[in-house]
Amino acid sequence: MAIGFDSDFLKKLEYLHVVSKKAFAGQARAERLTPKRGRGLEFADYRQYSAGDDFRHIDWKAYRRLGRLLLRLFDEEQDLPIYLFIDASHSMAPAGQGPEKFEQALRLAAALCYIGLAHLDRVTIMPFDSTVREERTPGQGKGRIFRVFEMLEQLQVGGTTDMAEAFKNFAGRGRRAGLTVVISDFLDPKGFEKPLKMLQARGHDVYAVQMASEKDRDPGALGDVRFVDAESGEIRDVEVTPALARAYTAAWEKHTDELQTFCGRYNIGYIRADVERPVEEIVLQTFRQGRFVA
Amino acid sequence: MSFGALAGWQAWLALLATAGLFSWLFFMKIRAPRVAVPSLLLWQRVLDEAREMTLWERIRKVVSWIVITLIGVMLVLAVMRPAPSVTAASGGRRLIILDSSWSMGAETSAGETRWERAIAEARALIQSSAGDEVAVATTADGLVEGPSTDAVLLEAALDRLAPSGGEDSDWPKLANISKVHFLTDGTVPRAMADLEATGADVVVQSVYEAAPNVAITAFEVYEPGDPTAQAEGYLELANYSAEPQQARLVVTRGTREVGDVQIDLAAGEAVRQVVALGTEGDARVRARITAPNNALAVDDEAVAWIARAEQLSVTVVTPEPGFLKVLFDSLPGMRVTYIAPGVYDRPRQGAEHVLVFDHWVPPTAPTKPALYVSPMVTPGTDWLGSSRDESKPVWATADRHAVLRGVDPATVMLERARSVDSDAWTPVARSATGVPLVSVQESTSTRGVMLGFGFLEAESNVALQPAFPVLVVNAIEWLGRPTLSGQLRPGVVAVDAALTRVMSADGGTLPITAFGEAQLVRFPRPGLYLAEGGGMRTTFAVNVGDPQVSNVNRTSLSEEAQAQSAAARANDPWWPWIVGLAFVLVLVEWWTWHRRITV
Repeated sequence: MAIGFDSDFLKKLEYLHVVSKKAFAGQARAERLTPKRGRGLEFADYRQYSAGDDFRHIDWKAYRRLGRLLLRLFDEEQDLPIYLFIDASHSMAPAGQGPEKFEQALRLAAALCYIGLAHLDRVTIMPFDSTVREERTPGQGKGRIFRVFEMLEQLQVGGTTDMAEAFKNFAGRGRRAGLTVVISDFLDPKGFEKPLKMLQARGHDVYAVQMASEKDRDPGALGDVRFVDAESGEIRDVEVTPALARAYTAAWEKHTDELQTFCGRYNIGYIRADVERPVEEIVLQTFRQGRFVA
Repeated sequence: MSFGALAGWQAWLALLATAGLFSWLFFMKIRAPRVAVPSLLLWQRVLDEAREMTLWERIRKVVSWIVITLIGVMLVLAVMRPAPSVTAASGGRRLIILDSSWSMGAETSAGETRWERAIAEARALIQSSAGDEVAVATTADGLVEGPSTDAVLLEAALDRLAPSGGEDSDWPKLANISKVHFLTDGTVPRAMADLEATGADVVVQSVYEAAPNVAITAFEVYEPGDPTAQAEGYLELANYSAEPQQARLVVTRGTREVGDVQIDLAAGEAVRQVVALGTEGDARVRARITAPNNALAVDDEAVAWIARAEQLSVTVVTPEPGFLKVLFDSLPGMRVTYIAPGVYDRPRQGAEHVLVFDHWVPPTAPTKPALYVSPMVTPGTDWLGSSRDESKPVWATADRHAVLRGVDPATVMLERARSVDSDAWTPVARSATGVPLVSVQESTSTRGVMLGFGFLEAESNVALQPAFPVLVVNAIEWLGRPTLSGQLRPGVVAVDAALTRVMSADGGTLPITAFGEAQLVRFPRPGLYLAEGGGMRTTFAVNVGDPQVSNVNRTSLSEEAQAQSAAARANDPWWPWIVGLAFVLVLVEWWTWHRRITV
């Protein structure tokens, strides 16, 4: 699969930046305010001068007026750690439905990467199924987007979804807290609540991007069919009547509502990304409306 | 429950197999298409929570399976014609006697014949006699099978049976019988006294149902002596029904149709019909009658054989044909060859039907029927016996033999008679002194007539008397065209002791049973039969031709017996109800399926 965006779309992405509800400490100077005081441009506060402080930061006007040596403090601007969790399990591309959902997820990830790279953020791509596979860090700067495309194109679906195990694995690596985006269909037999809460408990600003397709939502009245679970291979013979299909659609809506409600309750950003919609529309409209990008 | 089409165990086995087959078919459904889904998580929830919570969804598949299996079982059950078991509580040995008279072939209003009805009732009796010894007999064949407790054996015996007459046969008897079931239409009254004398409880089960019938009740062929005159067929046709009927009579001679007439028969009317059969043609004559209401088939056809249609071939071995040539030249229907004694060659025999040895005896006995006229026994021909002469014998006694039919001894004056003393010959006419004048020989190997006198003027005046052609033609006919006397009907018939072989039209040989001095042959069905014996062959017809058989509208059974049997059979056949039930089950399954795909 080839991932690529036209130059217009890339131009539009450059004007966007990922909104983080929290300020995180970065590693290098960049454009993001951090909680740290440093050498930024943005005035933050005063404090009493103490021996050894840089004379250049003494506010001499305040000394003349108050007779005290006060030191001007500035906000430090650093990069933002962005972790992109991409669900690469079989459920994202079932044999019978095609790879649209997974490909859409990769495109969204690429778009987010570009936004982050354009603002010198530290983007880490982490495909996962039941564990986090090899994490990939393309570097900084928007020129790295082609490396991102290359990385994403190499990803293949496989394995079963186990977000809890994958995120536990991620947490065990002692990463800095940052903006964490989980792109998945959230069809995890063990549930999505615990893993998302785990990320948040680690101090991450979490966004959940739910991938969905029309086939996921409405199977139609298929009659007698043998459903095969794309991940476990489990087989179930079902006679899909119109009523059963309606019940399934209701169940799917309920599942989505549960995810949305959960995210709202725990201050987790939630965005639904339907496969049928163009990436541009999702990023430029849905992500903005969801205050994910600005 | 018993079954009309199969033995009980076969029926139950078939039902079991059907249930298994339909169950297998139910579960061996066409494989549903495989659809890969991201996860069964939500389907699992839906199925667990939504559908399987309802009782109907939990039992629907089982209901469908049961219904489909029942549909199959019901259809097979209907085909096997189930009926309520005949409960004949008895214990002990039972004898089932089937009336095998021809009238049992009459068709009933239900489409089955009385015989099929009787067989079905016999099966039911066998099925209900579990553990008891049962024997099966027919009025024609006597004991057929059993006593046995093996229902399969008994029912297999029933399968082999068919109506075959037997109106005159003896009742089958069996010792230690506790109960006798006589399945009959009562058309042929039978004395049951001897059965009741055995102390058995005799139950007469009627299969009678009045049925209209049209029949050929008699068929004879008249063969005139004049070869230019036509042979004629005399038929008697009867309508044994309460309504007048128009019948069609078709008579064929060989493959040529010689008569096709429409006959209006009033109710109960019997008419006689004469059909000209022509002067030439095949010897086989067949008459067939058809009518709209005609229950019995066996009496719709009658056959006859015109013996004169086949020319007799006679070889006369004589030094001087004389009067014999004059006689034979005037006789129609014979092909006569004259040869001198010196030319006679025994190995060359074969073409002729009858040999005539005039004043000469061959050195060895001929294999063909032979007429010896005043045989002159010489030292080389003494195989015939020793001869002695009598001068001016007087014809004194004569038996009623076919050879002498129409011969008036009073007109015969004999100058000299030559008799042969031999145990092989039976005198049928003697002189006053006891010298045999006419002798006959009849055995399985040969047949002969010996005249102790010649036809020369020095021997007798026979050649000038009416007795001459009568005696010679009688002898030739008896030798060359022996017939079985009387009107032959299917069943056991006493036949000529000289017969060695009897064959049916299809080439099958009928067994001949020696019974004392007589021989008995059982003719299984109407038709033409060929008999051989004594070097001769003859064809003869066997017809039902009996008003007693054809009148299937009467019965000797009491109305009470008929009513009881009808009540036992009463109940309408089950199979239409079973088919109806199967149809209802199909609707149920359709509804089940409809619910499955729409709800």
